[in-house]
Amino acid sequence: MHSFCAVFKRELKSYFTTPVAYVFLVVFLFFSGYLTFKQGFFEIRQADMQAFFMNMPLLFVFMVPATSMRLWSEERRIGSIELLLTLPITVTQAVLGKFLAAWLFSQ
Amino acid sequence: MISVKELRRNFGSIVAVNGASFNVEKGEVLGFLGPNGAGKSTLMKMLACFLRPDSGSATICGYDILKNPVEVRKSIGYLAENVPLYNEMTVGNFLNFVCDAREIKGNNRKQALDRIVPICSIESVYHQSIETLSKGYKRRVGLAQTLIHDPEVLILDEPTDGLDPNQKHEVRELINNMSKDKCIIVSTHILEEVEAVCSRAIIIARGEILVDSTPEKLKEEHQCGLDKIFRKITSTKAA
Repeated sequence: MHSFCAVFKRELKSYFTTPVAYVFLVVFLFFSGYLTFKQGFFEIRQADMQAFFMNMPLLFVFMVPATSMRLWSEERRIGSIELLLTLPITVTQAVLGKFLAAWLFSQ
Repeated sequence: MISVKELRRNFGSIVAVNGASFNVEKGEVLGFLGPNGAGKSTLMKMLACFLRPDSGSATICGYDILKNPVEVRKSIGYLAENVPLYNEMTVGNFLNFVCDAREIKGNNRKQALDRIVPICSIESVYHQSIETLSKGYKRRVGLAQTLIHDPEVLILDEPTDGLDPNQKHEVRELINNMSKDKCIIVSTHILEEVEAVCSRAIIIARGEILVDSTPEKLKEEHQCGLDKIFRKITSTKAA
């Protein structure tokens, strides 16, 4: 459990120590706003968020790979996977830790 | 403490380790010698439960590397050859992460950090991010990571590579000091290091153990320096 928390905490922190995460967040926010208001949000004169939620899947198509694809490939590239998998952590704990960190980040 | 039986590992058609067997007891410092590509690192990676052997088995501190890898990892400290670290973290954060993963908490963690930071002389870079460090400092941080939980078994893959002469000397002293109550495996290309720290030496070439002896015995048998012996053994049998 502790080792799972360790991976989780480290991953989540690492998103915010590099500027990449902020860039993606800002781009995501910009497009979610832009796509919502683009199709005449005010002209429809209805209090619904359909325009917002309709575009979410499209945005997530870009957002999800951007946050998740580096999780394992980066470890492999730097070689730190050798460190991670020789700490007393099971693969399941490492996968869950990374997954939840990326999940929370995308929320 | 370590017993290895017929470990074997292939990478495709290349045989990396071909049936290695040996035992290491507490208090011994075992040196792995061998030309490049001999299988030293592969063997160490298997002992650290990073690679799975194709066949054979090994136990470390009574735990089987295949059946109980987490317990094995708890009782060993492993320093990989290229010293993988998380570059974006600071040294302090990184060591705290390792403590988290190894479940060293509260007061124990403070003690462990207070003990290890001066030993590896990384006080001056403690708050610096790892990517800005020189190779030698990175290696020291790696060493700190390896020693932080005071493991019974140490597996060090070329621990002095990239260090300056003073640091090399310090690392050797460190290994000598720890050797009494630990079981240490070191791989190296530097033969003087074997004489300086190892109580036993294994020469590997092409994945096979060619010699398992002490440095003194080797010198006595061959009546020449270690480098000559090394060349003789690895070149004749590999050819």
